Amino acid sequence: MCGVIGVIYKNTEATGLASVGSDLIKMLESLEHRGRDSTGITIGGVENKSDYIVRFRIEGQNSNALEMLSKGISSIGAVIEYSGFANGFGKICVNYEADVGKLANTIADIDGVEVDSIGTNSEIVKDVGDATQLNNRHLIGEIKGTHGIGHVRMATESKIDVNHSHPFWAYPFPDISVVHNGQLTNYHSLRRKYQDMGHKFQTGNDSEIISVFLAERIESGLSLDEAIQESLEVLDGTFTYLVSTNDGIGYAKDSWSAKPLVIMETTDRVAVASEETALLSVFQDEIDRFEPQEKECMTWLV
Amino acid sequence: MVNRTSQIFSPWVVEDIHAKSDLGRYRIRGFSSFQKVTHFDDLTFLSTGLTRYPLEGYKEKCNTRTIIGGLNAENPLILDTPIYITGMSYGSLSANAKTALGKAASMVGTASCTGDGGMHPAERKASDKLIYQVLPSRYGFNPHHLKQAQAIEIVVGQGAKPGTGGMLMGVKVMDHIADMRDLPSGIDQRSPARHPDWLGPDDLAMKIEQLREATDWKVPIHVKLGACRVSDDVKLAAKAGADAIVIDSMVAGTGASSEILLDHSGIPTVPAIVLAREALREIKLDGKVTLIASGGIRNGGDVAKALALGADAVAIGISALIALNCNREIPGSNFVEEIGLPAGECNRCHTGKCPVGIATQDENLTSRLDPDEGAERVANFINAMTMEMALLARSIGKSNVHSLEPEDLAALTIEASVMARVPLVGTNKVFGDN
Amino acid sequence: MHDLVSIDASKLSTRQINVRLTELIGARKDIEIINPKARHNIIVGILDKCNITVRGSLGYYCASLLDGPSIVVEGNSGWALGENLMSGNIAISKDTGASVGASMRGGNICVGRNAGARAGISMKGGSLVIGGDSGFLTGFMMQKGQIIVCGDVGDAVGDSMYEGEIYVGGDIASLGNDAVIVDITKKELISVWNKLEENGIDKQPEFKKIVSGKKLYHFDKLERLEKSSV
Repeated sequence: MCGVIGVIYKNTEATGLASVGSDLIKMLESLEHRGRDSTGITIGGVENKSDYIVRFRIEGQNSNALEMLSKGISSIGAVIEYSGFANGFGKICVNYEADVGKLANTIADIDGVEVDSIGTNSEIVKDVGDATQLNNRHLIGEIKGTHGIGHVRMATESKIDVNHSHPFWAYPFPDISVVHNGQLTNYHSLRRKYQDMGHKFQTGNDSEIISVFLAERIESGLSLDEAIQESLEVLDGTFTYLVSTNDGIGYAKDSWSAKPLVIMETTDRVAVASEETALLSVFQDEIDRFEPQEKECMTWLV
Repeated sequence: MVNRTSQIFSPWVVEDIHAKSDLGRYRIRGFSSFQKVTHFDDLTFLSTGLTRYPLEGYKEKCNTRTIIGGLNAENPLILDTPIYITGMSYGSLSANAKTALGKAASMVGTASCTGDGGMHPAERKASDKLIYQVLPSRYGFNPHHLKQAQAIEIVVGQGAKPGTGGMLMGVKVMDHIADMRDLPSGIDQRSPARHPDWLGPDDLAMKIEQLREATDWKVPIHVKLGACRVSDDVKLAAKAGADAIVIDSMVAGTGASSEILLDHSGIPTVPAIVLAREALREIKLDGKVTLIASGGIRNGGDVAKALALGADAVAIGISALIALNCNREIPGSNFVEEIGLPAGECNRCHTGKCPVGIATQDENLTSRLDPDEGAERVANFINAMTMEMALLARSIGKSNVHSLEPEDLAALTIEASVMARVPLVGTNKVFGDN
Repeated sequence: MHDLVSIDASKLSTRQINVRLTELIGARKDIEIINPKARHNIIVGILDKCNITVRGSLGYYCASLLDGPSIVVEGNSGWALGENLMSGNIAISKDTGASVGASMRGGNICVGRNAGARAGISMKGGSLVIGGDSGFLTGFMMQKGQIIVCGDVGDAVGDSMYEGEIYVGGDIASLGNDAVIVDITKKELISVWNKLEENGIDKQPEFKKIVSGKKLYHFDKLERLEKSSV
């Protein structure tokens, strides 16, 4: 099935941006045995001088995709401040003042382009293979921020490819993404309900619905904490999930405590993971760990 | 005067509703599903003509040697035939029955398997190659027995009642059974549906490693699944590290199950094997992880067809018991008087009143089963099936039963063509959108 | 006393650790494992008496499938510590994850602080002592044995239990299906306190005693063909 991790630094205003990327890779490497099909991370609180950071991939045969991307973005009045593309993976920083949904649709509608994330201060990088491969290909260890979540995947009911890897961004809500360990049992009907409400899904994966659900609740006025609380009633099946937003992370556990989670906290950061061995890769042995029980949830803000 | 009856509200549905209106709960029985489903009878072999060279039935060899679980284990199971005897619980079956089955397996050079109740010492003694089951209940589970086994089988589910645990009615939970299971005597025992120490495929991977460490990586670790979401389950079991996967279909047997599960959950054997093979192929473990099919294996033709569709071995349950005397009027028995049904139609394993001493703990009944005679009957039956399978294989030109392939088959019905992915007889067409 | 030999887990694979343990136990050494770093599947399938101290945390399924050993863990554990213990003693100083003592059949396990969900699940004998709190479904489907929780216990304690006793010193979030609180005699209370003392726990809470209500033992009606012939 999977392993999940998360970290949030407490004092970055004073100490500067932290080596979140490096923490995430270490923890993911120690959880490899929980899933080697794919690995992914969200880093939040990254430095960003533009309005949005967009992480995307180009798959398939459209050799004009990059060009069409460029044109599409200009056509809606957005301006690219930075762009980088290699081996099918790309990142652009965009200035755009209108509805972010329009920006998202403009990019995602291009044949062969898959949008992994759009965020004001966060970005998602995910790929097939394990954490070491992720780091080698995408240099995650060098990315600094204030908080982040990560995931190793052993696929259960859906496909193995980058699209179906976690974290799942809640299209088109900026900065909201989820990693999930477990299997929801009512996700087909939940997805249909949200599709009927007008939401767009990029995959058939059950974990994506958690992300969209939380984003929709937050948009309708709930705090992150309240949205997570509500999810405990709505989601059926097993889960430990972590959510990352622009300014924090949170977790929720299902009513049977079927999937594990342990937490360690020091003066400078909080780290959470499916297993203690992941936490011990970034902390020393002497720290106490805390294990949340069933139907528990918590959030931390930067 | 001929009376028509409704197909939907048939006489047996009427009886069923009457019974439930008295009972107030689900009904229970043993044996197998009553559903009519596509099975091996809907497939036929295309034997040699001018295009291939047939092998002589009596003189030329057909290799039936079968290796199970060679992927990681130092000592895989090496069997003389691809047919072995599946796990059936001591408790559901009598000690004489378990002993007979173990001895029969040794006589034909194959394996037998424990069950939901632990390893009985007589069975360990009788069976040369004993597979030890790890079930959700862990009744009688003992690390000493673990180390004595030739293979370990983690039971996720069984085809007769997938998604649930075992069941043993109070009449069979006599003192000696209760003692072995650490339960009070006489209770209606219902095993848990989940394992106590692992809850998903991520934990299963670590659990498999634990069992390997405990047995020094010497023996194969199998995972047994009830055939439902076969593709997903097989891939996960393989990724979690199983050396062999047993896929147990909806027509597989049981000593006791709620009827509603027997008849309304699981999928038949033919699609289960095909889906399992395709799943292993998709993750490139086809030929590395051993695939074992069980559920409704009744003769050598079924075995040959299962192998042709992609299984490496098969396990028999009900048919081994039938060979042992199940549903046979024997000296001293009187089916109608003792169980209320004629011999040949009995499915009352759960009542503990088995007239032939197999599915019972009552000494008056178990004494009707002599383990040595029983062993000989089961050994004869397995030999007969092995000969049938080899005869078929040779007529198709195969010198090894494991050379049988899907292209050796044709389907007699459209459903069978779709499920087995083989052409309908008289056509070149494989039906269905695969 | 036997010689003490140290194994540095950080330098060895899981297989190497277990092979080394077998060698040292055969040579009758006492063993200490350093830098375990929450490793999974070490100390498994040991059927001889021996003394092993772990200086740190263990992961999943450690100290499991044992018959005889005496294990001390100075740290936490993941899931199913002590699974299927036949005899011997396991003492862990801090917290355990879910399913500590799963299906244990004998021996004694003492958790210094808190146990996670499903502590003592499917227990078939022996004793499980928890110095702190215990989680959801403690004693689920317990068949025999004794669970002692000095602190609070989570929801559904003793759900579907057959026999055995669960003693809770603190609050009970809720009782499980067919679990009932019964009176406890002074003699029993003292016996439980003695058990705590044996495990180095200095507390003497006013324990509540939980046992099976025995209402789920039987299907309440049987069909004609299901009834016993006796």
